[in-house]
Amino acid sequence: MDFDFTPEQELFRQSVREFADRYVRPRIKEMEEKGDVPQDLMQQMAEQGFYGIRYAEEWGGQGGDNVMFAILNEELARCYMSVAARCMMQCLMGTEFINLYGTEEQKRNFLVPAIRGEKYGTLAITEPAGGTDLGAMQTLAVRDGDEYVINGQKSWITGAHVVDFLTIAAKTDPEAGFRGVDMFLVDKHIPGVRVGDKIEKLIAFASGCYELFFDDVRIPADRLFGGEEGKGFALLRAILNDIRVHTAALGLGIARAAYEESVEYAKQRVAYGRPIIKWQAIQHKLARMRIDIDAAKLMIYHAAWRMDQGLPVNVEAATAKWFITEAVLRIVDEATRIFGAYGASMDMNPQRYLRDARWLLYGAGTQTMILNIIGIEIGKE
Amino acid sequence: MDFGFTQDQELLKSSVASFVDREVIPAAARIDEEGRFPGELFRKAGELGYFGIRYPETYGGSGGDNVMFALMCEELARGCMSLAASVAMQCLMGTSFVHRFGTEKQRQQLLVPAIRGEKIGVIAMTEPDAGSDLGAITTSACRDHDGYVLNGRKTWVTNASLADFFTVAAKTDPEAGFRGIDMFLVEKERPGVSIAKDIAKMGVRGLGTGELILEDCRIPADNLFGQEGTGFRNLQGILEEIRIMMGSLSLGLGQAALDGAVRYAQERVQFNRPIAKFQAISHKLADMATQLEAARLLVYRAAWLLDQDERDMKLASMAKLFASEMANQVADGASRIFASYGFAMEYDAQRYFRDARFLLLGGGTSEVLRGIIAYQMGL
Repeated sequence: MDFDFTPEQELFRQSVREFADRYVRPRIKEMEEKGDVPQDLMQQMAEQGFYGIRYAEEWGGQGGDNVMFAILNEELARCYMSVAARCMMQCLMGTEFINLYGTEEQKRNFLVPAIRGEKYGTLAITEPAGGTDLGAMQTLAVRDGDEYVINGQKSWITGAHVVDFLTIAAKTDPEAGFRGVDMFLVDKHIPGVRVGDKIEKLIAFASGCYELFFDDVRIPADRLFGGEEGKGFALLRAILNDIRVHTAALGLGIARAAYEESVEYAKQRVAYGRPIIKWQAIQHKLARMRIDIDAAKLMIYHAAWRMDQGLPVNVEAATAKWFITEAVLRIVDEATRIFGAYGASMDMNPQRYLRDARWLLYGAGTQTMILNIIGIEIGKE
Repeated sequence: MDFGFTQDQELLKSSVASFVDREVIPAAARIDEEGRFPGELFRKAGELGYFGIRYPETYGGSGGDNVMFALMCEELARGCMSLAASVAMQCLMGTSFVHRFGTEKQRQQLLVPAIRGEKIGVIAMTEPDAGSDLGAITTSACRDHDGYVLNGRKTWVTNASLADFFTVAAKTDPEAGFRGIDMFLVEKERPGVSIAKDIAKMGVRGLGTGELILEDCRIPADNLFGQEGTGFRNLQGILEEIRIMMGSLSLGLGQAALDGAVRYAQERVQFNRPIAKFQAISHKLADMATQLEAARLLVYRAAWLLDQDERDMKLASMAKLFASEMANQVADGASRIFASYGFAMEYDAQRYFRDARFLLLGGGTSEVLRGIIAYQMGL
């Protein structure tokens, strides 16, 4: 057993942290107010090679492993969740279907420019009536000669206002529940695709979630991922573990930020004649935060490492995601308590952590759904 | 034992509830979104006699009991925490010192109009470096022949920019810790009084929160509430009430969040049935309702005890601790049931989640309350 990060991984963590401190942190206030991540910052992340971190060198990527990618997510989220979320979308959900199932031509036209930051992608699954319940989806893709015609509506689509291409879920067989779902690659700049209203939300102000409408959108038949109809659910399931582990890494980043700043504040803030870190009630809060973080870190990097070894991670990805979600919610709650009234001030960070941590409650599956998954896996053991 | 409400209490609860259902709930989201003090509803609360609920008829009040005050706070908070907290401040902390220690002239000039809603009174205690630790305040009140000169900076002052008069905690003896604190009446027209900008905060956005700056602010000796050296004791005289009030506000928020979650769970269909039909959801709702009822018993009992003229700091602290934690847990549970819609600004769940944090601060943080309960237990 070896619990150390390699020198290469440590170096990478350091470089991401420096990038975040230098280029992201000074702009957080601006991004929170505008509710968006500026494209020039998205471009800077491309120049750092972040978007290609997990892709093969053949396509311009770095060929990094899941541990490296988790480090990237953790460090960016430690600085600012909205930027981390947009980066992760570009690195994983927005581009992975093309990487795994796209044609050579699609990889050249979408994946390669995405890695360079010349094109942006996102994943569009959720609908107003179909969130956790994928089978309730109503968007339809109907075959018409060499094309599919898509009609429907998506919601909570990250970065829909700035992306160039979409990986969308639509039903080829409306009667078949979740087995009738297929995944398609859709160019956003074609007739019939319309970006709707921005969804104003409590969390990750700058991540940018929009509604998306498809009105008789025609795409070539080879934009169906997986080559044949009826495979969408299986294709999606193949990347769910990745999404869970890396969403968990985002949670770990927020947890660390809240913990580290709480420690600093508790050392400075004086009440009843001593720094509050000297009071047991505060000390124990910090101690519990540390326990949560240490445990979550082991679970998350263990799951990432197992993925890199090609080992099954259905349970590990789910338990890590469930645990860090509860842990980060405890941690940000305690952090705002340690900051007292300042924990609610919009000029301070704790309120942002308190809000953004709630991303974990739905990103990569609600806690209820994750428990279902763990329960099902236990039943199979 | 008698767990029933009196007829007066029932009547008050239902009349506030109907005001809240009719006028407050429809306005609550907008008040939050605009981050604006709900002036019109506040005035209406004055017209309805809410500000005088705990004051005698001599000053225009209605002489209600503590249970009635609790029920009113609870109902208002079910609709809009920003309004409820402003009303509660006006009923209690903002006016109590004038009532208990003011001269007859001050009562006529400040308390009577405050009860009518024509003047606004607030309390100013917290300072940048002194929150829970009140003894660490540095605002000073120096005796100056026929009066006092006040200097200092108060922060997190509720509705500072709207207030006509402040009850200010300042030190007459800087060496004496919390025993050196006295409470003073400071009218906003006094030279040396200025108000700094509102603090932007995550929750209770319709509740102004500003800074009060006192620079060589000269006040007459009459503006000292009570005798010199009694400030802390006089503050303690309403601490039970403040804690029960915060507990009552917590009940209202808990009820609103629970009601919203129950409705949503019955409407939202996933996997071909309303999510309320899944144990994971219905059991969570059952837990939320159970916590709320337990908190309600604690808060009402603490209020009822006060009405029996029994001051019980331990019970009042327990009521506030338990109810404010309950409100946060119920708000958390509700926003989970709403899943991603729990974060969407167009639903109320996110507002309950934000506003619930306010309940953890006023009237003592949970950490301070645990300390008090432990102390009362002889620990």
